[in-house]
Amino acid sequence: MNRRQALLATGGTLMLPSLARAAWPEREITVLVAYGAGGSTDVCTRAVAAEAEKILNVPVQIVNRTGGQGTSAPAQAATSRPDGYTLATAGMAALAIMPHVLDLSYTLDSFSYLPGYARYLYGIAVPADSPFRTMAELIDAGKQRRLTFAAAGAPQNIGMFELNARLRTRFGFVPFPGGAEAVTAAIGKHVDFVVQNPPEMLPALQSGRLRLLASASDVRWKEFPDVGTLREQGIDLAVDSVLGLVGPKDIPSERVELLSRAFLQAAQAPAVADTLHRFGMIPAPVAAADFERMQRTAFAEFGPHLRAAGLARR
Amino acid sequence: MMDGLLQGFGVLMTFQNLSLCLIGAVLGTLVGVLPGLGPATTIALLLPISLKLDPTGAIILLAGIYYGVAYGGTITSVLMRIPGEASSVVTCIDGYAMARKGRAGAALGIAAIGSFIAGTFGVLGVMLLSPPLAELVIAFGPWEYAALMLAGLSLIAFFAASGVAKAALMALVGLFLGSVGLDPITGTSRFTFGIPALVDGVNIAPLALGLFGLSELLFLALSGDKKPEILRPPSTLLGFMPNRTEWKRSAMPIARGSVLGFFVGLLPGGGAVLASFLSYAVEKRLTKYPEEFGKGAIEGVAGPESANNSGTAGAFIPLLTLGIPSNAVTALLLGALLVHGVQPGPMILERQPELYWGVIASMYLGNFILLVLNLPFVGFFVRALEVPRRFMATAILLVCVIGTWSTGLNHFDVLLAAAFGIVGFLLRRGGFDLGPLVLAYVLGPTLERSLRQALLISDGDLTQVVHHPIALGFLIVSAAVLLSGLVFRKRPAVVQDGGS
Amino acid sequence: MRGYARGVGIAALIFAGLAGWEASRLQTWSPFEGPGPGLVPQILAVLIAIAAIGVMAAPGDGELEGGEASPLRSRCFLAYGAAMLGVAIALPYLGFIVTGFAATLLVLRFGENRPMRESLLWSVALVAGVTLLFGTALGVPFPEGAAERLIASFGLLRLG
Repeated sequence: MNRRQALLATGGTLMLPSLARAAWPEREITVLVAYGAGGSTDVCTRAVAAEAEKILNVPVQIVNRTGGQGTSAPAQAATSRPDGYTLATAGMAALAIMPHVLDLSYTLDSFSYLPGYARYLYGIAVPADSPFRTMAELIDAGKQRRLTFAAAGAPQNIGMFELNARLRTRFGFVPFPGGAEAVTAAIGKHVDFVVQNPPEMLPALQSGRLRLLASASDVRWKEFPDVGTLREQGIDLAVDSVLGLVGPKDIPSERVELLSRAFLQAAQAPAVADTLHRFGMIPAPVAAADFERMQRTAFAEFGPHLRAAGLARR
Repeated sequence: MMDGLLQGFGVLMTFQNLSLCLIGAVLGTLVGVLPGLGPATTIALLLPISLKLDPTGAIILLAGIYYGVAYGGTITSVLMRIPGEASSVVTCIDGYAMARKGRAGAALGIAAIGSFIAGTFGVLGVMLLSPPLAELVIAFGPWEYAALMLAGLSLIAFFAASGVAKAALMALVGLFLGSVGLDPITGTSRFTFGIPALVDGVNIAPLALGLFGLSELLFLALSGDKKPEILRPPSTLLGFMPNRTEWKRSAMPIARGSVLGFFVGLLPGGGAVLASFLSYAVEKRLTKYPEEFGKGAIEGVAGPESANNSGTAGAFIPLLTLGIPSNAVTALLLGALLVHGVQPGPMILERQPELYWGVIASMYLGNFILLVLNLPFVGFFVRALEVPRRFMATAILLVCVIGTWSTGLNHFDVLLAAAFGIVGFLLRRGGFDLGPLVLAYVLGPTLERSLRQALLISDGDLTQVVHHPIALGFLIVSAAVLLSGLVFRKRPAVVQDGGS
Repeated sequence: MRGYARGVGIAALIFAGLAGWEASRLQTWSPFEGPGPGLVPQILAVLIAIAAIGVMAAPGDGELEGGEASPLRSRCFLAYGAAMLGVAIALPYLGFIVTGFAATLLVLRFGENRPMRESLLWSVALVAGVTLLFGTALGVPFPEGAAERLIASFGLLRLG
């Protein structure tokens, strides 16, 4: 090849990526966040969005769409144009729980699924002077008499209902409007134990007012590496909640691919892990297909529990 | 402790932190003045910006906004009968009546000074009493909250000037409105009729802005060309200020309001709204001039305004020491703290003393700044009353609309506000008092939830309450308040309806 | 006042009836959780009915706030009322700017009887002021409307 041909060939090759990039996305992407600003979902999604911006080369704008217990954002996304520019956060509440409880405008089939990026951690704790020192003791007592636990709602309560069904314990659920209130109720000994996320429980655990009996997730808590998970303590249960993104169904598959790759990569950034940790979450880069599968499985599993507890509408 | 405070002032005295304190206070006042645009919306809007600041600076800014709102909300309440936020609803009663009598300046002045004294008292309380008060919060469980809410509701007895049946009806309707939305225990949706906007309940913004602001708009429309009978406003600053009698009469209400407000604001679920209503009721009971209440009694402004400011300070205790947010604003502050890596909790004093003391110092300074800001502008605000009705009223309409919209970004809220505007107009024409409705609406959900939580814990056994002395105490207080308000009330010689 | 009070009483009675009927479709008591979602609303409906009857029996006396004249006779009142309702209804279709402008114009021209020039000037000034303050300065997202879309294209407004 002579020099001119080489130059043309190089120039041509260099042009190719920019041609490909000019295709999509061309303008800003909007992510509807289902909860209020400053909350865990909001801040973590902002962190991921900031990373995704760098990868996608367009602004990723966050709009808070609160209300409906986490369902209004996905509901709006489900009816928006399937061009890939409008996405919404969707967690366990919106996809696996609320469809059983409320009459919603969407179903699990209304969405294109994108990756999951964060996972909530949960733990079980008792007041410091409680007689229970291990999960085994708690469960034994729970088989003999009614014990009450505080939690802000699902999926923790469902986890405990599952235990009731399997081990014949009698754990009574006392709902509280938020995690902090649930934890305070436990500190004040108004209930026997509490199942909540780390940020709400850590101050009390670290000052000795509460005692952590187990991590209810699949992994141990970083702050309490000596406390085993439920599975490690012989109880085959994990309370899990994965947060991810969805868009309206029928987004062209190449765009879904592109977005999935970008968000998956963003979810693995160290800055994201740092932010997540502050809110008691861990990064959970879960491929879109897996995220969809997890939500559908959870939806199917939670149904019977919710109905049995009288919490489901239908 | 003094070195902690000195350290805090040291932290505060940087150019950055001082300006943040000032910006927060000014912005907060502006937000408080503009109806509907509550502190929650503003803090949410500023959150991304605050992320670029260091933790102390960010909290100083956001806390300043929270504070400023408590001051700013008074202004529209007094001048236009529009509550800047729920805790200013009570000020709409006597504050506005005072404005109609030409004493707007005195009302605003007393409110500003009372707020300063109460706010400072509140900060002192936070500084000195956090650990024991945190224990108090922990000791409150469902039984105690249920009893407290009942005690709060019994205050309705003091708003029954227009008649027991009318007050009861308003309270009951308020309770009902509070039950719209998802049931707190089972999550079943109640009275939502498939409208997504109602799933979280009837929002406070359309309720308050509609019932008070838009109904006032309709009354303004009826007032013809008569300007409200304001005597020629004084031309000097001092002329705006409360006169000697007003000062004397306000002293004790301010003191009582500060103390009451602080303790009520301390309890999550109590809050500034309950504090202001409680103070109003107490002052009405204790005043030597009961016939003035509803017609412009200065005690009815001094007490509640002080109470809601010290209540705002009190809410910092559960926030900083237990990580419990008492309302939407402190929830945002909590998120802001977490984002900046600050863990609220008993260890906060040891782990991050500069943040803790920096925030406390900024609260002192913030209160002072707000006083200095608000007082000179009183004259300006009062002159705003002189603006011809058509400009004021149309401004009220548009601001109420966009304010309501801004809280939830959905159209149903605005429709609801308009509907409440009409309802509020009809109710006031019928001589009904709107105060009990708002109070019941605020307290009802917590009451129902706490009662049902208590029944869940006790497995359906109501008699368990005897094991809870605090709860029993509040139940006795409720009975006493009801009796005192209904049976032993000081009946004025002439039946009056100035209760709205 | 009596007329209005009685009217409210009747309305409350009807409201109680409807509320009670809707509430009866909710579970009153559950074996698991004690009082169900329906219990409190049902009790409230009954109490509201009782209070409503009480109000109709004792509607109270006193001066009518806003004057004795019927509001429906006042052109000004009708203009303000129409403006208020009009904005609330038209907001989803036309956005804030257009409806706000129309409402203000309506009020000034027909309610307050001001000359067209003043009405137009003030309408423009007020809407511009509110939009700049809430939308541009404070960043509140505005409802979708033609005018909003235009201004948003200049980057001055966010849409929500």
